[in-house]
Amino acid sequence: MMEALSARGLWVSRGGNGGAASKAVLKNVNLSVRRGHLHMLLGRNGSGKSTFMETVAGLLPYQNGELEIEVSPTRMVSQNPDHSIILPTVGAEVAFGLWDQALDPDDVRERVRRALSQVNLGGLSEKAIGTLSGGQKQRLALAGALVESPKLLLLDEITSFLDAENQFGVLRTVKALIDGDPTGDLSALWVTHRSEELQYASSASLMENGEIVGVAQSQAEMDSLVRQFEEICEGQRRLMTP
Amino acid sequence: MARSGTGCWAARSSGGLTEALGAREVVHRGRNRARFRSHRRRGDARAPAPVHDCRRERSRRLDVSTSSSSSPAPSSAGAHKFDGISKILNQVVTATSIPYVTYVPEPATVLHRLDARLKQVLAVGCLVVAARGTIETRLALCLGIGAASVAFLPKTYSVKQLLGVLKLCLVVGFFTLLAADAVTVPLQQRLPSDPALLGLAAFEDATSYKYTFVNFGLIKITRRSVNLAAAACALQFATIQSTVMCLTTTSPEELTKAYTQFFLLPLKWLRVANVNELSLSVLLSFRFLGLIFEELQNVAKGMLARNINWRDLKLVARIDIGTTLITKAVNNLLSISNQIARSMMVRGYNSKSFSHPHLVDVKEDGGNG
Ligand SMILES: Nc1ncnc2c1ncn2[C@@H]1O[C@H](COP(=O)(O)OP(=O)(O)O)[C@@H](O)[C@H]1O
Ligand SMILES: [Mg+2]
Repeated sequence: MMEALSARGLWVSRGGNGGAASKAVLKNVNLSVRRGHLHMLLGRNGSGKSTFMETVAGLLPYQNGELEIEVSPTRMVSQNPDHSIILPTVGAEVAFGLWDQALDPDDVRERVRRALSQVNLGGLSEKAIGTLSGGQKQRLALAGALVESPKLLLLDEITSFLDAENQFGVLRTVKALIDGDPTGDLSALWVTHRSEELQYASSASLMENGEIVGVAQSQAEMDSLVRQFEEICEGQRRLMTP
Repeated sequence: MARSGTGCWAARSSGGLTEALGAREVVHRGRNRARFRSHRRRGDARAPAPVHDCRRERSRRLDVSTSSSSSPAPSSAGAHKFDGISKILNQVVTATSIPYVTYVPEPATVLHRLDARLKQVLAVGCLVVAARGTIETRLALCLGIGAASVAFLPKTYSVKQLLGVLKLCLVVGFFTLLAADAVTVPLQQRLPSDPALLGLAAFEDATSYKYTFVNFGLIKITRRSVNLAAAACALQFATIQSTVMCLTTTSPEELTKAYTQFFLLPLKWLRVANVNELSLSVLLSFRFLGLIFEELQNVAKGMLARNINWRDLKLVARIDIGTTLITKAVNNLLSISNQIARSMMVRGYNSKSFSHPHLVDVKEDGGNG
């Protein structure tokens, strides 16, 4: 199989405890991420991107359709690093994912060091979380995922709290990780509402109102997807302004 | 425009924690904004308008928060009065937890190299002496701790931090001094019935002993209140300062390791407690110490950014605003703990499999990419 993740005809409802009041947030979503790809999921706020992510991560149940994740392990990193960092210092935070494995200290140390250097945080392992910048915190959250050698990264708007410089810094880091993976097996699903990030994508999907309304299989098709997104935003703006 | 604009607003306000900024950051932000713009120009051909609008909205927001949290801008000087409450808020915003409860790895001192278990034993020893010692031993202890702080803690923060703790102790001591013997218990007079026995005036001032030093009616300073105030000062100083010395020079991992893998080992042998879970709890509480600090700063910053003119408000309104903001801080903290619990689940946590607390110190030799 070439796919790392494939969803076919996925329906997900939220709210109302699954009763009549619950509302379909994802409607017939078809999306696949190929191995070794950085696949971007573009969509406006509230279009259902996080819902898709959480469903893939197994945090939400789906009512209908098929969801196949061909690789493991899968790790998710969310929007706000302050909410995802668990332990008080950089080294301990990265090592947290390894608490379920009996490893010897040297091995743990080596893995933590590697994960930190993968995200350009080498040498900071003793630092307290409170002394890190926003960009460093988000890289740290990424390192916490990488230490477990995941095959699929689910990254939900991880640049939305960062300034432009850090935004592209983190994006380039992820791109380099995928391109530099020795097995070529590492893939990532990158969720965003900023179309300028699509220049780094291997492929992309456009989500609107819980549906996939456009797909780009390569960089060549990216421009038309971005234009489609712009039109959706433009239409929405006209609706909002009288 | 409105749609994406509000989206951004929500994103920023929910990410309150990342907004904790000192005045230094203003410069960086200005620079970032410049990059931002050049980026925008470059991306104009392909990137859609709403994203740009959204970002412009964001940078405008940044302007507001920086100008209000650094110093009162000349244009808004009238509106921004620095009365008592604003001053306190400003202090909270610019304060950091760093020299108080957060581990400071650099510059490394003798204390950094000392074994964490030894440091914990010493700290406990200080507490015991402070709690049970005589007034002389307490004062000696305080002098010792103060001298050790100046000698061993890095000069970059030791003096400022020591003065902070001293100030706090003196305030406590001062109020103890005033209050300890202020309320006199009305005793029934029990004078002898024989008037001859009352002629004991000759004994007065035979020695220099005085119980009451100062007596202004309501304010009365006696031997007892002096003793009590000295004890309170010494106890508080010894407790806070020895803890600070321990916390700033020992990483949370080392501290946790010392008491879960050494002092609490008997509990593990006797199977009374799950020591692995204790390790996690201890580490989590260190994380929350930092979060509470940041959340208080956010609340203070929110108040400053709103330019509330405290002087014009009635007391009830002040209390109302205060409670609203504290409620907000507590709610934020609860929601963050919820999120952190969720993120523990995402990273595969369940109490059975997470039985190998890896508390390794990853000392690296530089190489910051
Ligand atoms: N916990 C929830 N309960 C009910 N509805 C929700 C919940 N979270 C999100 N939604 C709804 O699902 C839709 C998609 O939200 P989300 O997946 O967070 O969008 P995005 O990540 O694209 O901004 C929104 O309309 C939102 O109102
Ligand atoms: Mg989202």
